[in-house]
Amino acid sequence: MAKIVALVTSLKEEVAGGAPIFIVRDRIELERKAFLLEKLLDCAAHEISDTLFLLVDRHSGGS
Amino acid sequence: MIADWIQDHRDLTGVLLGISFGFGARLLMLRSDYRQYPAYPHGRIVHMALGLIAGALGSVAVPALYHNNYTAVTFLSLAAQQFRDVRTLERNTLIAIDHDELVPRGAAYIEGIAVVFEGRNYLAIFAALTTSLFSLAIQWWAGLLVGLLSLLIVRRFMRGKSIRHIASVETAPIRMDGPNLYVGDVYLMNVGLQENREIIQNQGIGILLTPKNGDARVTIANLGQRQAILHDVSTRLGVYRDEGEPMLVPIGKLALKTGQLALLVLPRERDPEWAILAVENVPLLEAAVRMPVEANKRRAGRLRHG
Repeated sequence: MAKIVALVTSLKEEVAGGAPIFIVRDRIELERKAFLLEKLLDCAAHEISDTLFLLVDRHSGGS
Repeated sequence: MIADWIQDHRDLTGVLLGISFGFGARLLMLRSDYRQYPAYPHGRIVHMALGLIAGALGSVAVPALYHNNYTAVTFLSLAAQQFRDVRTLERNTLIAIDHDELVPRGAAYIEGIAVVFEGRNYLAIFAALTTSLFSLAIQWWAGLLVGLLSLLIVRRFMRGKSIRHIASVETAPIRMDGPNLYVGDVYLMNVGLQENREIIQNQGIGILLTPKNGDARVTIANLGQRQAILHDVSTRLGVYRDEGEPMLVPIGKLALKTGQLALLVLPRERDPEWAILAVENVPLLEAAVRMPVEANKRRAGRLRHG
């Protein structure tokens, strides 16, 4: 099963929970941070909404 | 004079003919093609040596039986054991190097290749056995003829079916709907980063496989078969991918409604025609072939087991 490794959001109220959350100011920073985290963590960045990116780990079994 | 020698040494002639045809059969089947295996000189030598042994085992059994030495048959079982080890050897090698592939072969493909390696040794034995048998039972020229015939049979056995036989392959446009990636109408994945979207759109090729019948639908749905297709295309056209780029990955998804398989490949050489050809030539994996149509056709009372 895929695992959520981190969240990046520009809308603080939108998120809460177990994974590390990165709060950014705007869309540009959102994309930049998601890019950086994708390369750093080797995890796929998925765009859930305009204000929220998920970093998902698919290495640990399943696809 | 040579004819006299052959008459005097009938056993030896038979055995020599058998060995050479057995070895020849193995050489015929030892190819390094786009699958790049065995591309290593030492891997090649291993299989040539085993082919020679297979030929020798097959051809020696016949004169032994002729001289009422029936225990010689146990020799062949020894060979079977030997070649089962070949399968294990190949499987282990391929699994070991699969971790280092950008697009792995997958377990089903590896198993398929390993079985082929084992099977080819048996075919070499078969060629040697028949050649030796006929040259002893009739004359050396009969052995020669049967040997040539067995090479033809071996060639015929070697040719398996490929994707071409079960599905029609065509390119399909890659479409981005916001972060969502489609090939044709099939949803593949959510691509978050703009950079990756551009690479996929510029470099990727969308391919749609339409199964020709019910059996084919089940076969191309098999995950191992899918991985084999992605691996083969990546081997033949190169792959635009690196470690640490989790989004740049060739991927396949089924259209559940129609049973079509949509593929996104990221070749280094972006040539749709070659990509289609590469997909069409992917061998059908023994582990993936299912025949539900055939299975359901038989009446319940007449089902055969085993």
